[in-house]
Amino acid sequence: TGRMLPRSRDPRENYPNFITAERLHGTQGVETIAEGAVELRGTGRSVDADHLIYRPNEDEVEGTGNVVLRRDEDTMRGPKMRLRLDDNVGYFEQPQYSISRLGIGQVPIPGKTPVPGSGEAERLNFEGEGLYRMRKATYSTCSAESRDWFAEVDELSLDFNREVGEAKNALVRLGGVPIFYAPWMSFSLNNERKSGILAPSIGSTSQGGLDFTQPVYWNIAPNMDATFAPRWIERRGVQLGAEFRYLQPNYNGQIVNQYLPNDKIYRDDRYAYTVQHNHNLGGGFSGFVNYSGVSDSRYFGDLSTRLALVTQTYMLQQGGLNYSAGWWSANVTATRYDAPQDHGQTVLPGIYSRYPQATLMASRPDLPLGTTFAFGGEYVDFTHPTAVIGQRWMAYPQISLPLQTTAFSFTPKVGVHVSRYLLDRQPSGTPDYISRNVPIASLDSMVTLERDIEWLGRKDTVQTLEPRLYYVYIPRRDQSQIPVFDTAATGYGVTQIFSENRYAGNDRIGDANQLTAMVSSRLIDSASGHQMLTAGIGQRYYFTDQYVTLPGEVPRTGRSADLLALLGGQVADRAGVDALLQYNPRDRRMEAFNVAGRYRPEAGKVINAAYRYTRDQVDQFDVSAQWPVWGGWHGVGRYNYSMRDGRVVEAVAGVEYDGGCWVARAVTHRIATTDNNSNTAFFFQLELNGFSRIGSNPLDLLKRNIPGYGRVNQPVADPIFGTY
Amino acid sequence: FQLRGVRAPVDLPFGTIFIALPTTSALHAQLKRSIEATDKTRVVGDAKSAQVTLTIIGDSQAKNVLSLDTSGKVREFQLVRTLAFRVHDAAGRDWLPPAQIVVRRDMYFSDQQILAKEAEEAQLWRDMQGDLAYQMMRRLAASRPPAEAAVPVD
Repeated sequence: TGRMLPRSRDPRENYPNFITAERLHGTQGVETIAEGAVELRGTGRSVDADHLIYRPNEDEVEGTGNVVLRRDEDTMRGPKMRLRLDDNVGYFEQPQYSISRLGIGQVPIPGKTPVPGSGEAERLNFEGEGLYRMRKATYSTCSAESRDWFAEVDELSLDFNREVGEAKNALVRLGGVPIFYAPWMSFSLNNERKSGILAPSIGSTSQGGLDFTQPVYWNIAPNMDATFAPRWIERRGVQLGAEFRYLQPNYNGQIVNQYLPNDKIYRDDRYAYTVQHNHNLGGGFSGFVNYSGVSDSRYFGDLSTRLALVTQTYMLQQGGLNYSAGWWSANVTATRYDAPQDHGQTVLPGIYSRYPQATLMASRPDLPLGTTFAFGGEYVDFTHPTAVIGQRWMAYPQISLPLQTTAFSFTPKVGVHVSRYLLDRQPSGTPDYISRNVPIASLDSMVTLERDIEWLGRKDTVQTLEPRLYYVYIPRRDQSQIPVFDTAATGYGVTQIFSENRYAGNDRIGDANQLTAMVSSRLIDSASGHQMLTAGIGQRYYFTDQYVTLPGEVPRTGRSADLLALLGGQVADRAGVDALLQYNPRDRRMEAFNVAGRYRPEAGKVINAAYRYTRDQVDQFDVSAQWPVWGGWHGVGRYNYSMRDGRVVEAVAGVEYDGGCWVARAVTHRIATTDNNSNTAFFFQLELNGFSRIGSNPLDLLKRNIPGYGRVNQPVADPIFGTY
Repeated sequence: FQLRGVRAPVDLPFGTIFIALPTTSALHAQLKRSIEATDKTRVVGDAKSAQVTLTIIGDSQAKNVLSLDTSGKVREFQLVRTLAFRVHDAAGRDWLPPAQIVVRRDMYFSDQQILAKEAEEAQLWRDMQGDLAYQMMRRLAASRPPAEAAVPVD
């Protein structure tokens, strides 16, 4: 027999509960007692039990004997339950539970999958919509069939409104073996940011010995967080680290600070900090501060956990204000590059400070007769502890007349580069005031030709042929008495051979009577517009000998500069190749040769290989890969070897195991830190999906060393673009 | 080979476009110049009066270490700009589904020349933006009205 019990106390849920059972009795409207294979059904939920009492006034269910509560995807079963259905308040004794859902009121977002959590508890309290608190519970995100890991917790609370779980006295077991204990911890129920004591990092480095960090994360607000990370290094001492980040519509920034009092190896206090702030002030104004400092030159090599920072030598200390009005912009900055000292001793040459640097840039196309006007102006006050100092004014107005059709482009341009120097500490016999006016004329012309071809079986392919000629004339001006504040010869690349000045910086305007010729060709998929391949060959010819030089630079006398050839290809996001060759025809030798290939058929599979050669500077090969090996095992590695020095620059070797609901990574890393020394570090990490990462964090390291690296347990972070 | 434009017209398939970028941004200025260099298409100031809108989905600039020397100092950087965008009409229908362009340049580095390298890096970013605009124009030229794109190809 069965009976219908209408219920409409909650206006949101107008559907009644239905009860079926072998026997039903009770008082109409007050209490219904059901016995024998009871089944209560309501909107999105059901309760099965041997014996069930339903009180419609309270909308309360009391079930005993083989109670099963089902709600959406969630299931709980146990001997006894009492629950007010409409506001989810009550308890469940000795339940086996499985809870898996998005936050209340949330719509599913692709890529943001709810983490299914399940386990057992001595008692579970329902504390309102989306709130559960358990005593003597276990928790795991593994499936019930293969429970590889679980946490034993004295008290566990799951808050699906805030998507946060909290555990007191948590002991994590992997394969039954206890691996981690925390008196208190918190974790995200949707793999998102969470506050709390994060799992400790455990690692070791060749110089510091054992290395243990206990980070605490504070998710202050959705757009603000902080991390505190005390770190114990066996042979050095205790380092305190703190990081604070914020993001607002009009400003964002971060403050990072590390302090190690009395390093037992270095025998001094050591620290590093950086403050960054960007601010949109409105009305076209914006401001920024970027200020970093470090106690000594070897700090990052010895102590940085973020190995990307090992490479920093000078510390940027800069602040500025920008204004942009569309066709013109101005900015004022103060910039200093701090040279770290060792025990108060200068070990690096000083870099000029610019207190201040003011620039004005303008560009006005579509002026009468089709002309374009451009202006670059700058004032800098260069300071230095010992070298020549002074002020430099510079103005460079330019007028060009771009003539452009679909197939032809022809741009004559003239300008005058005007500079004034007011100097101090000049060597005797050289003037303190120097003026330099340099007219600059150039002519840039290009033709675009096209044809349809079939390439790799693709019929819709357009091949372009783009010959380009670029002529520059700059007369000779004696600049030998001008100091070098911010100027050096540029590298020799495709960008640089099509620029007027062979120097970067304004202290030298190289004399030029030269022609650059280049032929490029592109293969374009005409259906999508995707550029599949680009290739080019170019060279610069000089009609006169070089006159202007930097101190120590030997003037060139040959007529032809180096030949440049390049090739770049990209097959969708899956594979690509880039190659550049610089050949010196005068001495018949290779000046530079770089070739790099990458292959990434899918997330978690990537191979990169590169050979890089620059004469007298670089001669390295570099291979890196992440690849599934067997079962859930993935290999990761990088080998970067310098043939010039006969030693390894950087090497990474590691394995990752994806156990379904957990991932283990073990990675060793070796990096050359000085000419004779290397630092070797070992990282171990265990990631329990949707719960915790235990061990040090080699993810940043892997991302930097293996371009295209993807986390094996998060295969598609961005389904459209991936992370190349 | 034939001169570009002789073989087939190179007009963009839309008459007006709104570029959803601040007008003060350098990329906006560059795209506007390139688009208005074609005969028929004009850049307009708001999405309502435009036939299509160019929306930038993502624009990231990265300065990656390409090679270190054996004392751990940077020898070469690689500058990478990744731009993702789509073209759609006011109803949100795609004229060009989300597309991505990656432009890379290598730069030799020496920390003793850090000020000059700042200037050289700025020059490379400008050149990369020119390359990016060229490749974006090719993608824009390949965009299609949604109705036309929906017609099955037989």
